[in-house]
Amino acid sequence: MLTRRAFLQAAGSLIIPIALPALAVPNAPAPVLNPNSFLEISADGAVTVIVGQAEMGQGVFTALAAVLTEELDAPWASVQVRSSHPEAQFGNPFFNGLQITAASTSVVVFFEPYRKAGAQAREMLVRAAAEKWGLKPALLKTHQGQVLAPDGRTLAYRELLGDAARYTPPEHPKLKKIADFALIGTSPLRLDVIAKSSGKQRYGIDVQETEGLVAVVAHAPSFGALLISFDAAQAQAVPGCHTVVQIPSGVAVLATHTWAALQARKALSVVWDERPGAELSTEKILDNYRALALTPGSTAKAGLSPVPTSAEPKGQLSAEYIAPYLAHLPMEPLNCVIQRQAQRVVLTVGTQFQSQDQQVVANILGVARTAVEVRVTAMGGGFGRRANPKSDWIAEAAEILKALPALTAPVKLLWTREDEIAAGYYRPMVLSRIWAKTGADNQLTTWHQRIVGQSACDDSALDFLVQKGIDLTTVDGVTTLKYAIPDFSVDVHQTRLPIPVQWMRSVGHSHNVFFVESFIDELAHAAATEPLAYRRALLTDPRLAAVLELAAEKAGWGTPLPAGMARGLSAHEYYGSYVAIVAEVEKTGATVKIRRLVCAADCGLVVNPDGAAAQIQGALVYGLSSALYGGITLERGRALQTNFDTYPVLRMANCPSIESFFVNSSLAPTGLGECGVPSVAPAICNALFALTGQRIRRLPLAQQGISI
Amino acid sequence: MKYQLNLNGATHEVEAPAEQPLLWVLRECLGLVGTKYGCGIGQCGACTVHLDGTPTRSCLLPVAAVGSQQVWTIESVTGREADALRAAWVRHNVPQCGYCQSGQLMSALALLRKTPNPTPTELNSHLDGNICRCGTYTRIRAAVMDAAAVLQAPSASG
Repeated sequence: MLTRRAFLQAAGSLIIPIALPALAVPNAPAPVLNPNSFLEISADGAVTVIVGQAEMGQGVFTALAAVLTEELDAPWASVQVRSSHPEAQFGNPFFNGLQITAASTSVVVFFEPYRKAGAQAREMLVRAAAEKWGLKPALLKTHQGQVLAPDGRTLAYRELLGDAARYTPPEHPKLKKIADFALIGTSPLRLDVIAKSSGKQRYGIDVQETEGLVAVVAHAPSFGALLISFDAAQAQAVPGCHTVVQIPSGVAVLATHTWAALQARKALSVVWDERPGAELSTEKILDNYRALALTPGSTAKAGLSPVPTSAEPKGQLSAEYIAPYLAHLPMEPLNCVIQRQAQRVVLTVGTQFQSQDQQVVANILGVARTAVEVRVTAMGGGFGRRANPKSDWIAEAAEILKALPALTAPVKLLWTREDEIAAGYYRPMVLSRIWAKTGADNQLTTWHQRIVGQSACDDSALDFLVQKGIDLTTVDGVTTLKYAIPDFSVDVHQTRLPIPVQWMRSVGHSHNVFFVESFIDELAHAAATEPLAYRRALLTDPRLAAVLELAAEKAGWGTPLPAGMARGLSAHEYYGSYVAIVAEVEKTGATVKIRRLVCAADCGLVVNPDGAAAQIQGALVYGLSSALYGGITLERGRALQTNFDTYPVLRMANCPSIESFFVNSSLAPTGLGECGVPSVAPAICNALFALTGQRIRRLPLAQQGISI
Repeated sequence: MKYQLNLNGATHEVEAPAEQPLLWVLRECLGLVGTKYGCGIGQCGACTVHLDGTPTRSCLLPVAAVGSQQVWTIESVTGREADALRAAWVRHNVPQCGYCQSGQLMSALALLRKTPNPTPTELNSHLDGNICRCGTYTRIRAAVMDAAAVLQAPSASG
């Protein structure tokens, strides 16, 4: 607490500095044992685990710290985490070594490196104790930060650090057997839970530097709009307004504090040429997509028969599905702090994409990449938005510095909620048409699927995900379908529009599983077969079949429900994680309520069961929110939605009961942050069909005349 | 304009335009950044403070309208309900990103002070104004009910 005197002293200044970068360890003693990039043990025995992946609420700090601590064998209470600067060792091999937190890969790719990092240190500490005691290392054991000799003598790790530091870290330290895990597979206290349960956690938006300025940008009011002129006189007259300057994305307004910046932006007069976006509307885009869906696209997966080119060819079942543009809406609005200092630029930001952000700032300001110091803060949610293919909001902050070459004050760029919803980036709108043929006994013989939508990876650092003109993030979840279909093909039209798009939590699966699992349900009904039995007969993957059975069993699939209620199900694979969801839906009068979601998941070895359950609960809420309410509607190049009043999200009263179950597995862990999202929409739409006979082929439900 | 705020049990003088929302006064004039900006239009609840005990969206409240009312923020709320809620939040591992949780706690605190034994419906409707994008709603429910139970238990009554 600040004292009253401090308050009064500060009242004269404009912004109270909040110096603490969220994840730094202030005044930490110099490390004594630092055998690798992931670990420091200080003289007092405190263990600092260094993590390059972004902590945005998914619990990756706690999970990776536990993985390392398991092998190090240190007490959990001695462990803390620090966010790394961009460094090659933290590159994500799943993304060509870029330092990015995406596609639920953190535990997948860093499980073994963090085990090894902990085991390396442990082996060095054991060797130091062995030398001290004149015993063979093999005779010694460790327990909770101590080395134990057979005769009962003990040495604490902190007593061994100096000696251990003299050894070369072993290349191949011995790892524990999975059966011997004592921390992995338990749910130790989340490292940030106390700070986050008391208002003490600091985020990027909370960084307030002495003499700092706050910037907001007047963006183009419609996509593609061109700036003609602006008049800053009224803005400059707002008390606290510091500078108004044009940058490529609009007109930046810098002020001594946020409210002044917002008021000055309001007072700013900008003339835009909105003709470029005048024809952009959701319905016009969809008309074009519908036409494209009847022409052959680029082949993502080749089948046996010619691809269809009419909506309803004879003897085939066909349906068209639409998933809308979506806004990510992390609770903490986008922001960053950038400052030009002697010989370097300091960027303080909550980001999922450190390495690219660093490169983008370096490119804009014409400095070496290494001259950009990136300090990563805690994030108030990410959901993909903070891993932008162009580092858009960070680039904007760098452009402000570029436009003001003499400026040395730190600048905090803030996007308001309205800025985020108006400017994108959005999850792409995608239209898909599926055709199917059945043979004798309603056996599914042919499936052709066409997907129409923008690429998220084109022209970005992730363009290696675009192969032969097909963005993998457009087709994910379709090309990997786990059903036995003899003639299976997929083709794609990647459209180009001036509407910025990027991935959202669960990426391509976020729309594709809705298409696929809804259509499978249509086929089951057309074959007059019960949907669980229909999937059972088609599934090729035993792990997916197992989660389907588990979810069905836990949900009481097939048991009677009260009148006015029905169940629906959906199952899918997401990069090696398997998920099935059963939804219970109720209709009272005209109103539909989602009452219960039961989820079964197989993600291999579960590192932290309570954290895993939290991720499934969160992903189900995220998926449900999008399915019920999520959707950007474009008219004349502008989004009709502006904030949470017009872009509703799921709230407490409409949150169903959620149950999650995990398959007991000792297979390598797979990702958990996203895999719960995709099956929610098809599960509830399938339940709604079972209840009412109404097939929902376009999301969200609230924009299809359904009262929720 | 200068204002005397009755804030967190003490008087604080601040200088700000009359229409500046209390949220930005708290965060930037007083350094109390536990109260969060989430939407600026009173829709998300991240900026919830107590005004004479009533949960209030500080993003919509001009500083001039505070007057002599007692303002309490997440940094300074105390008492058995606040302690019970914070402990329940930790026990249930409620937060994910944590950004909305100041507001959730302030709303939950107002609920338990007024309605020590809320029904699930009362809880749902009272907390419906606080958005959580990480989806911690089911844990918030469990934690509030747990805190209420702890407060009702005979050992907690003294």
